[in-house]
Amino acid sequence: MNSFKQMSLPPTSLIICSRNRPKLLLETIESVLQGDEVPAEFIIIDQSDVPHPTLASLRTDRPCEIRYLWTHSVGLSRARNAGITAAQHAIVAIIDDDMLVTPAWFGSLIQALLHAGERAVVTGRVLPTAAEVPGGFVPTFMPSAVPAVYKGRIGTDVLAGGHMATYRFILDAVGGFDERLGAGADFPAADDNDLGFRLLEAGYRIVYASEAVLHHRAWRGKGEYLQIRWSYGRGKGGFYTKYFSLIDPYMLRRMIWDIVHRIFLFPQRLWSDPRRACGDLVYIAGILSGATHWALIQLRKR
Amino acid sequence: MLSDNGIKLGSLGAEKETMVNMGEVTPQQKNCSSISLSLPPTSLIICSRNRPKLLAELVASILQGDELPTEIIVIDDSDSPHEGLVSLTTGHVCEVRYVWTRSVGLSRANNDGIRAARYDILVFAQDDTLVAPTWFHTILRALVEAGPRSVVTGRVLPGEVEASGGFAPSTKADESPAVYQGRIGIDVLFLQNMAMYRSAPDEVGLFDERLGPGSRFPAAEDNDFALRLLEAGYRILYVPRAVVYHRAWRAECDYLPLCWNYGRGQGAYYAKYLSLRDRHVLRRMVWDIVRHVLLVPRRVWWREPRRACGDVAYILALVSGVIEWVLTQRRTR
Repeated sequence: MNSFKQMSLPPTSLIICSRNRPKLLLETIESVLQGDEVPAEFIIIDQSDVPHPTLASLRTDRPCEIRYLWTHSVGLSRARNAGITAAQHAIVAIIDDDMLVTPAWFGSLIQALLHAGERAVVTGRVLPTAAEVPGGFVPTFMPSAVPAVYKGRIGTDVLAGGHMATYRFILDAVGGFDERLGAGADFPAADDNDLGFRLLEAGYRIVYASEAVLHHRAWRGKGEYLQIRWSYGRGKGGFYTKYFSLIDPYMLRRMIWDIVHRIFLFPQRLWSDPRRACGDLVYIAGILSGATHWALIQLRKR
Repeated sequence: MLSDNGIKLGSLGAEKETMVNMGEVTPQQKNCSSISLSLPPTSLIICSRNRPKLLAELVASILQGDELPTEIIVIDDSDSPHEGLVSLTTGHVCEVRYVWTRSVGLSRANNDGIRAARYDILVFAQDDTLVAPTWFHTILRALVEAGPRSVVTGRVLPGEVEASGGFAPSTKADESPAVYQGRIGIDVLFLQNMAMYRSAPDEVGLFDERLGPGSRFPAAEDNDFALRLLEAGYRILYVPRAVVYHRAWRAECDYLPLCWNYGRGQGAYYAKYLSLRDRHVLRRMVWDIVRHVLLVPRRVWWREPRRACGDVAYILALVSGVIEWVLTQRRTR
């Protein structure tokens, strides 16, 4: 049964990037390899301080070639770009190292891409797991069960960099991930928002396939919440500023709305969810810090 | 941080010497080998990243000095190795050891240099400086006289303007010697002009690799190191006769980014030591912010808009650095 499904899918390269999270990485890989269908190639880009001895020699009896690449480089975007460059197949899927996939996930994601055609990028549903540590939380998830197709200027960010599939030529056409953004970089988030924006601006569609489901693990402790909010704000501020223009104030409007609506919500959240209210303040400060930093350091390099 | 004298433009003093081709050992150096023998063996550490021309000219200026270190260790984390330095030999007076590394960050590179050093006295220079002929023996003699519980730093003068609107940050032109001990409320150690015994970093720890150019908090690694020295009871000696020139190769448009980077590093440095029980660093941070806030209207009045903007950028970056350090680093202390 499984092998029949496997034969019906085109060969795909699945990329997973990791840094110093060997246990999570291994469990994500195992969940993928236990799926109904598996990718033809599984590329592991590991930026950990030392190579992972188990993964370096990992083999499977499923029809999937596992390629483990340990690198000195730093930054999630750089790792993903390295994975895209190393990919041997025309379809590329990307997953994060702190996910667990459902058995049908891989087949659903690739089938959705095939249905969407060659001008599309597919992303899917991300559900949180139960807390794995006291106060554990998941920073981003996408629970909607309603499929959607996004085109043009939608005013929001819909692409999950850790859950996507597309044709490799599309990523080549838009230039891959911006290595100044994303975990490990000075602007440690919004790499996927940036890619999503460039895809939409270039006329591609982003398809939300709600049938492709994976679970984002709640392994982060509550002490990391504000740190994550700061990092997300810094990345978002960098992303907004990258596209700042007085001639085309689209991104300026988005940034203002992102800040203002949180300010309006603050009193209510302070009452109902104080931690989230503090997170919003930190996020706003992060946006302003990231925006100023990008304006001073990056804009003059354009 | 910016020096008390601010960022200055200026020209080289009379002590500036002519460049020589690297690898060329001058008769002056050959003659000075006997003088060198009278000094204790010393490792001079230079770190660089993607500034090959500046690096080569610094090495040349050191090799033209009255006296030479026993070894020069070049830690180069450039994208590619430096062709001229890989094979540089200077005869038996001074060994040049070139180490190309893929690690990133000035603090990491300085720490690599300390670990690689073969001798107990360590002298530091920075790749965008030029040294006066008397610099090496002046700073070394000052350190030997001061003893192992001291660290010596010297005068950092701005170099000639090398780019449009060029400027040299982190300068100190004060001609009066000074000895700093305990809680002095300012930052006095200049990494581009510093000498110490190896026992100092052995006792207080190496440079904090989370601070300094190339890291997320790209400045204040020297301020952090100096604070730890002073807290551990070391003295910092300012010896104005030990002169280096900080080259003004940065263009005018680099000014605001540099102020931002200095602010980020300084904010992180303050945040590292913030405490309600011991408010020394908290007071210093508040005063640093207030001082720059007060400077803004004065600079506007004096028609120095660039420096006013620099002060604003520094304040914002300082606050940003404090927040980020508190959120991301304090938990890992």
